[in-house]
Amino acid sequence: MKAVCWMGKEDMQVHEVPEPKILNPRDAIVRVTTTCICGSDLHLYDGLVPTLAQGDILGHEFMGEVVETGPGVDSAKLKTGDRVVVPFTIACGGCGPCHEELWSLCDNSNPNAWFVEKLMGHSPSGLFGYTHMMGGYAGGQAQYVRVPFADVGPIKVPESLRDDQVVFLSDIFPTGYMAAENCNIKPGDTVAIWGCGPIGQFAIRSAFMMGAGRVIAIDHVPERLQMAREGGAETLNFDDVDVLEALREITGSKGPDACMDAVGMEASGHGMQYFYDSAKQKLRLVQDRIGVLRQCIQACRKGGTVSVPGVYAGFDDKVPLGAFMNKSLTLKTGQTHMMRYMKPLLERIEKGEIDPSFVISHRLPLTQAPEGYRIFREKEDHCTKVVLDPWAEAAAA
Amino acid sequence: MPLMLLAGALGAYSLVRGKPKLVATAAVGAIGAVAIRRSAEKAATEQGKPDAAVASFVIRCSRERAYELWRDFENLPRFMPHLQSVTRREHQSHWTVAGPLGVHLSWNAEIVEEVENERISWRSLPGSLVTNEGAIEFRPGPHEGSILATLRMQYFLPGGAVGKTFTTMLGRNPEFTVREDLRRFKAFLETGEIPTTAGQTHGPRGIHGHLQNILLRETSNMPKPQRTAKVEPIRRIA
Repeated sequence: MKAVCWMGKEDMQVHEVPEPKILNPRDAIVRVTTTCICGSDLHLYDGLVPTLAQGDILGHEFMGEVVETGPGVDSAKLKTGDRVVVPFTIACGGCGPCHEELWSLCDNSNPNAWFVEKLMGHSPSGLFGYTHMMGGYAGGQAQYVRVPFADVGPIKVPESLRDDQVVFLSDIFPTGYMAAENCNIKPGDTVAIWGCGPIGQFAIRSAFMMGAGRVIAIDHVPERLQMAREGGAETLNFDDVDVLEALREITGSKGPDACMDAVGMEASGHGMQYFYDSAKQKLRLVQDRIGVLRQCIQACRKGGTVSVPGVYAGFDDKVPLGAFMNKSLTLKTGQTHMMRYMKPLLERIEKGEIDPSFVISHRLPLTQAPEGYRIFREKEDHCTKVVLDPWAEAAAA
Repeated sequence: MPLMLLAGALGAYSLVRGKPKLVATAAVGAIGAVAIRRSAEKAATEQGKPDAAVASFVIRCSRERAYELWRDFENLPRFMPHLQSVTRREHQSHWTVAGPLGVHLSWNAEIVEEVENERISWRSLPGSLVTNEGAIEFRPGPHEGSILATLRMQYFLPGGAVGKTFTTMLGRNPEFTVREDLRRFKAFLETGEIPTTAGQTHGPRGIHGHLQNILLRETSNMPKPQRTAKVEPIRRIA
């Protein structure tokens, strides 16, 4: 089968690889019909997250048809022929965190838990197509994929909905939604969202669903700001204005009730602080550029909430803990607890409340994934989201 | 002493030739040589202290189920992949491990104490090649429906400090092994299987990819897939 492999920094290649096999009783094999490139794949592309190995298959946003199930899969929940969206976090359904619906913190799904424990104290759940410290599971930018604990995560979707309407239930829609939920929004609240990529876009729309009065979206890519305005947000371009001053002015010196960092470890910016972060990251002295997180803490109103869906990987410095403590802020973050949100959000899509396909800018065959990574990273050609068809060329042939 | 000289010579040569892999080998060799010497001296004067390791995990299951799984020692190789087999007849048991470099070691053990649903302890019989003691204990956990499992192991590794260095290099350091064994026991009880990526598909690894897999110990520690296991997995929590 064809699969998108990480061969080194900024070196994605499509290779013919062996098809996945059922390894454990509760595994299933899914024939992938649609898969996507995520912003967090770009951190891997840029070689910034450690423990990725040459030859790893990436991809954690995918859906398809179940073609084989292991003997331990509960057939009442999943069987061959089901059309499913697979969440990017892998959860066993049997451990303490799973019972508390903290699905992305599953105790059992990361076979390399010992490794990440040394770094973080505890291990979060395994992830598809990510680093080896997050389990090293082969990902879904391929024609077939092995899905462990297949009767817990995957959600069946009706034939009436197209792939591009439901595929984002695998990550970015629930992630944007949980990020908005983490803002602790009360009716009429003002929410500032840094980053108008796909997560930011879904967060803007989710914040309004939760009753936000105003959403202020911050970015510098014109088409992304335009998309944010279409979602009802007011926008700030950080190339043109001083974000902190602008937010103070807009909110009457109060500051946004909640600030969201939907950017993460590769924040862009200006001035000395950005230069300092970039230099340290290039020298591998820190993993993350935390410019946006600093702004979130600085801008947030007293007693407000900072929500962080953006990915961070390491130990970072110059965190304004003084402001954080003295302003009584609340910080909420985490990988998305997918299974909490997939079903209710599918219902919203079915009711026509939202059509998530609005974020798609590019539809490419899987074989053009390397080009997809490049344009997505460079934000060329108005690229906001790349969707890949694993079978496009096979169908044409 | 000749070993140390050899290691030193190798180290110097590889530093000059800029071969980092050889430098590492030489360093390990030198440490090994010191360890052999010290262990020989120690053996001449005293018996040495055993290596003790302990690990605890909170597991979502009943004490009955955990006890049931453990007391049948023949289950142990399911979550202790370094064990080749264990057979038990009443208070006696026979253990076989696949040691380093494909060497098989076996020994006999006896049950020291067995309290239903609470604890089991065992120790090797005098004259065994591998002298060891072990105990598993199940206590009520912090929440309803959970238990606190504690595994303690104590053993004199063959080869003393050298043996320990060697097993550490192979990813079988006692502390690590005990913790990972108990982690797999927990996964098996909570999910009916042990998560693994061993044998999954991937693209061309190249030298870099292979090296990284070794560094991440993926080859030495990943449990084998259970699809081929002779025994059916036990019922998991609904």
